[in-house]
Amino acid sequence: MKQETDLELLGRQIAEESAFIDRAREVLATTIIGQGAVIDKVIIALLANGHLLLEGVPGLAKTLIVRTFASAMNLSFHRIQFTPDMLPADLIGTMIYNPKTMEFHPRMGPVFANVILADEINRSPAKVQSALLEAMQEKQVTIGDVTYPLGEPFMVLATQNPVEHEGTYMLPEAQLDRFMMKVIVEYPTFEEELEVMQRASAVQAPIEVQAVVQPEEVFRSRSLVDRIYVDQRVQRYIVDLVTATRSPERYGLGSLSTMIEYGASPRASIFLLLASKAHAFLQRRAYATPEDVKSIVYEVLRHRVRPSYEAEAENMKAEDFIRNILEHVQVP
Amino acid sequence: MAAGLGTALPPASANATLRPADVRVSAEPDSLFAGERLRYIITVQHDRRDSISVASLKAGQGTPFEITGTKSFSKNLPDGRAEFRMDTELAVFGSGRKPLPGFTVVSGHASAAGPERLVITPSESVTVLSMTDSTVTELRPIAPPVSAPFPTWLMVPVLLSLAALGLAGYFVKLLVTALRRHLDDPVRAARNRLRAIRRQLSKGLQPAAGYESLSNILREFLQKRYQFGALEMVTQEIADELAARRINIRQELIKLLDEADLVKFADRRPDIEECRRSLRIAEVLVATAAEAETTEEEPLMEDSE
Repeated sequence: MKQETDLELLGRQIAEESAFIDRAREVLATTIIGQGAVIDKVIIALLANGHLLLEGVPGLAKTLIVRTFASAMNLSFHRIQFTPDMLPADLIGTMIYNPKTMEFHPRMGPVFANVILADEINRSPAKVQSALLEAMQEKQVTIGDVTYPLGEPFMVLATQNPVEHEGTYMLPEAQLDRFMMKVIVEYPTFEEELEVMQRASAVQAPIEVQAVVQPEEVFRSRSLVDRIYVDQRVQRYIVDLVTATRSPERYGLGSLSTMIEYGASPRASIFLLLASKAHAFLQRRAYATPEDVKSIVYEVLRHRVRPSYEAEAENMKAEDFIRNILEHVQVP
Repeated sequence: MAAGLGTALPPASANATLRPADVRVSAEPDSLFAGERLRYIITVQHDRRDSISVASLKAGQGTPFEITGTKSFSKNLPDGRAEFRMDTELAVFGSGRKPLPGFTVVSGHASAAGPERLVITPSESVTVLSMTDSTVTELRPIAPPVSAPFPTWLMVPVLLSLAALGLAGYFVKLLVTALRRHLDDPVRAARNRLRAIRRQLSKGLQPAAGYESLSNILREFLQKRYQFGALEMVTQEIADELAARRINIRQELIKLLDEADLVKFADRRPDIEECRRSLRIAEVLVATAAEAETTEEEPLMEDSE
């Protein structure tokens, strides 16, 4: 009975604390037309303390989404355009010599912000990518001899353009694995695009987005997300899904074993669990269900499952494997 | 090549009218394969007043010769005598050199008391060639054996038997299918399992476990009954699928699955009576599904949902 009472109490707390989500959505809707699914994934990543990889062709408001989101959340925001000539110091900062004091002073790089938009991360060389990904993992940066912690919350939203690969440095799988989710930004619907066009054609400056959420609310919500109940059955379901990407034959998917070069790592299970809890929070529930898992499984697994040469020849993508796995792994 | 003309050798009596020199034999060819035909000619020159015949030609069982044809005729010679000639066709068997068969020439004379007999044993022989190697002990055919014509009349009972077997198999298959359908009937299986869970509740099964079984039974029932992957779907997906198929019992079913989800995932602890009630409702729903698979609902009802 104790657990039941705890969950009911947690449910009430979630209902109260999750009110900021509606406020944020409302404010974001004044600037961004559509893309509700992308916004939800950004909120999930923020609540689960993860980072996002956004993929979509240019002009789909990726930057606008992140900038507006940071403003609404009252979080500091930096956009970093990754270029081939970029150096790690351009990102994390460096020591600057002051001739007056005859001393070196640290100059913080743009990575010192709550929300970072790493635009076209695949345009910079591996050493810059590594510097960012290290900051993402460690949540701290070392300049000279001193280590500086990054702000909290700290979230990186990196974008990749799926159509231009010339002169790019594709993120290696080990680094892709650091991103909690990979979100595909789709084209808007006809009506949405019509509205986007009408709004963007105004000569007046766009409306400044007001901060409607305080970072403290995010921290409190994170502590509630941590307490969300995930039954053993759901946990086993998560591990089943992730294991099926590595050993599909164990789940009656022998045909996939030659199609998948390698499957998702245990980090995928961790992120799938965290993201499921955050999704349950968004649904104002004190417990996670397989429905939560299914809602974010594509985003968590798609960049962790690599199709084999044979699969690419047959034009099969990671999403096809995930769909196949979902159709074969029994829901608890 | 002829075996050559020969003269019979046995001595004749002094008063005999028939002399061995008057009897000549020839055989053609002088070598042949076993089973082939030998032309054996016996010629007897005699007095015109005598009547001549050839008897006891040593052919047949126990000899390498078998008579396959014979003809004889006589003619008068210019020197006042006559010539009797018997042309015999013999089949030859065995192998190696075979002496020509002996015979008896019988001469009848009107003035004599009885017929005169002259036994002839020819000295000539023929060579019979065998088509098999003498060193080989097993029999090998000279030519491939001629296959016997297929007894088509035998097909009738075979076909009848096959038809009978096929018919019997068909009926057995029908029987097995009907039996399997009866045993695999999702409605029957689900109801039996639901009843079993209710009985187990009385024997101490935890209500939470009862709800878990209830959820599994209902999903399996839906999967088998309506042929969609209910076992791999979450409750909302099942609800969408049932709505798309316009299944009449969907609202009650989803309510039960939602209750079971709360027990499974939200650690809700139902009491035993609640579980019994849900199991009874599930039984009724399954039975209802058996009676009416789908019903076309009014659009108004769809909207009200």
